[in-house]
Order: sequence, then structure tokens, then C-alpha cells
Amino acid sequence: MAWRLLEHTADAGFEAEADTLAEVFLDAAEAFLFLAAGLTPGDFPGSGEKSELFLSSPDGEELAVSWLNELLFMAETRSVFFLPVKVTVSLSPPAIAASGRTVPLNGRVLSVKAATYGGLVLRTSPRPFLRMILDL
Amino acid sequence: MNSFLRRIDQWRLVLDPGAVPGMAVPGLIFADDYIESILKGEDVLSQVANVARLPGIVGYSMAMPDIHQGYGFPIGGVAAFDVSGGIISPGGVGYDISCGVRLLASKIPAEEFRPNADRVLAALFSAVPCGVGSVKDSLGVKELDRILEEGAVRVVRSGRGTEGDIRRTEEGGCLVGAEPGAVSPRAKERGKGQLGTLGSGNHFIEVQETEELFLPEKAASMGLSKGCIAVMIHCGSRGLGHQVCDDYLKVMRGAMTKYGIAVPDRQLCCAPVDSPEGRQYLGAMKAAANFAAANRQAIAEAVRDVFAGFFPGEKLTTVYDV
Repeated sequence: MAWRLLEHTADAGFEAEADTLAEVFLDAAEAFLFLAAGLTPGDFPGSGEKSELFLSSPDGEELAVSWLNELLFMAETRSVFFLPVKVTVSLSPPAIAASGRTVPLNGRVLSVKAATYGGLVLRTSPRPFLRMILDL
Repeated sequence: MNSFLRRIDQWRLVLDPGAVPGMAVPGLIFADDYIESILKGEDVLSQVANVARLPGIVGYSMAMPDIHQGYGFPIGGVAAFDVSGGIISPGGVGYDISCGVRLLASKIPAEEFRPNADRVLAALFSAVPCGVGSVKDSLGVKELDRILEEGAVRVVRSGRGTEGDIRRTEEGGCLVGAEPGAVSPRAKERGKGQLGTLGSGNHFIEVQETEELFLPEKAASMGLSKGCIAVMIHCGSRGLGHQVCDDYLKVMRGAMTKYGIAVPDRQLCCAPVDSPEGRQYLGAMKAAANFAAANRQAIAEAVRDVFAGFFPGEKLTTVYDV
């Protein structure tokens, strides 16, 4: 795990730092799963259907927010969580391609309403880093 | 920032222009010494100041005593903008459009409720799904559009509620001018299964007891009786409202260059009220507000059904919904 929780007055946040932007986005998905449902990918051993996801945005910050909001959208509308296994991230132009598996939420309650731009930090050097606040 | 903050009386602070460049009006914060001591370690004063920079703001960038850091705008923030030349901002309205409360009054004595409390609460959990992504029966496209246009009125006219509910709901449960067509398919996809669901965060259904009446005659006119239970419902427009906000933050961000507006925080993205983007957002926002009113109406009916199973013949009447 290469992310850590942040304290927040009313909501929740995390920071992720890794060698590559792709790893940061993978970590962000993991942090999101934990904050939304108290789960880790290890809670879904070997289950799920193969799935792919592609997103593009005008800039990197919006891409990061859209990435997690897309996971939330899938959870809300299809009752599944997308567990990314491989991610490719580009910032010129900003886009993400992810492959992984979707696992059923089986009625689990999510507590995150949205990924937000509040306090958002995305940087690529000296090491890729993402800080994000989630609206609970 | 703190050097621009001065106390004008026991309950109010003023944040003078100059705290950040470009403030068009001062900040006015309703805070006693205790709240002020909390504020000084937070970035929330910057948010009050940033709102004061927005075009067309009138009077003050205000903050109520619940002030704390929000998303662009402070939580507890209040700002008015001149319709002529002023702006509208989805971030200012917030993600949970028309998040509100409804209070239901009853004549059920609290002592009669208590022995049934566990079973009633279990039934409430079953009747009103909670948590993000919680769903009930999915609405069809046409029915969802009618909900977005007519709000709580549509739910009542479908047989779920009373005319009294409508009379005691802000704006009669329906904001005129809602534009279902301005709500994105993605927002509708999120909302179609969420009517009658509570959601997450600080949303709740709470069974309360009226312990003391300060104005007995007025309380009686509202249906409140000492020693009896009441039910408070707190929720809003669910994922649909969040998606409307998210969608229009992007629209406004694209529009700001067109209108020559610059903001220090992308969550303050905005457009002139009287612009195509501003009017479109207003139509979508009203539709989301109508969804919120309809949602609380649907939840109120589910609560009534639960109580009818335990206390036959007892009515839960709406005190107010706002």
C-alpha cells in the first residue's frame, strides 16, 4: 500500500506517491475502495469479470477526479466495483486506460459521495503524487 | 489573512477587503470567540475571501456559525449575486443540491414507542435503503422526467402523500422552471433507482421525542405534542444532484474564458446568471431540487407505512419540509 489517509474536518482524504503515475492511479483506486467500503482488493480473491475502462479529460486534475468518480458511478448504477490491475496514464493528452475486473458489491454500503477538487494536488515530479479529498 | 479579521461585536467578525487581492466586498462571519479560535488554523477564511472576489457579489461574503472548509465555497457560506452582471456557480449551490429536512409529527406517546424501538428501526432500515448506491425500484425515463419537473407534487399526485404535505413543503414541493432536458443522461442514470433512498454521509432518519414545548399553541398548530414522537428525515438529491454539480462545474469551467472570468479555485467555476450556461444550470439545478423534494416525500411515505404496521390508525403529519 503506497497511500495514506488524511485527516479532514468533515470528509476524508488520501495521499498516494509512487514511482509512476500509473501506480499512483492504482493506489488511488485502492484508497477509494477502502474509504468507500472499508475493503481492499484482497477481499475479492480471484472473483469478478474481466473489464476495461478508458477515460480522457482536459487536464490531469480532472482526469484524477473523473477516474474515481467513474468507479463511484459504476458502483452506484451497476452495484459493482472495478478493481484495476493494469493502468496506463498519459497527461498529454490526459487519458487513462485500465484493465481489471469488476466484482459485485453484494449490498455493501458505500460512504463516499464524490471525489472532489478540494485540496487536490497532482504532480509528476520529483515523484508522481496525488492528494485528494472525498466527499462523504 | 488573520490581520484582516476584526471583531465588530460579540457575534460577528469582518474580513476586510485586502485579505486577498480583488475582494469586491468584505467577509462577514457569524462567530463568537470559540468559533473564531477554531477558524484561525483553517483555510476556510481564504474561501470566504475568494467568494468575495466573484463578479456581481452583493453586500458581503457571509459565513454562518457552522462555517468550515468546503469545496471552493465554505460550508455555511452565503452569498448573493446581482442577477444583472452577477454569476451563478454550481460549487456555491453545492454537490447535494437541495439537501434538506422534513419533520413528521405524531400523537404516538414516546413510552409506547420505546418497547417497539428496535423493531421499528429494523423496519425503517428495510423500507428506506441507505448508503451510497442504495437503490429502490428503478424509474422509467418519462416518470423520472416528470419527477424532475414536478417534484414532490408528482409523488403526492401518484397517491403517495397528502395535499397537506405539499402545503407544508417549501415552494409547494416544486421549483417552477425546472428543465429535465438540462440534466445529463449520466445524472439520470444515477438517479433513476434512488427515489426513496437515504444515501450516506450525514443523512439520517431519526425518531425523536418532543420533550418540551416553548410555544404550546404554535406547536399544537404544527401537530407537535409533548411526550410524543416525531420523525426527522435529512437527505437530498442523491447521486443525481452530485452529478448535476459535477457536470456543470465542467460546463462553467469551459465558459469562463468566454466571459472573461478568472477564479482562484476551480470549484468556484461560474458563468453569468443571464447566460446560456447560467440559465441551463438553473434549469438543471431546479430539476435536482425537485428530485430532492420528491425523495423526501417518498421517504416520508415509507416511514408512514412502517409506523402504520406498528401503530395502526396513528398519522404522521408533515410539520415542514425545507
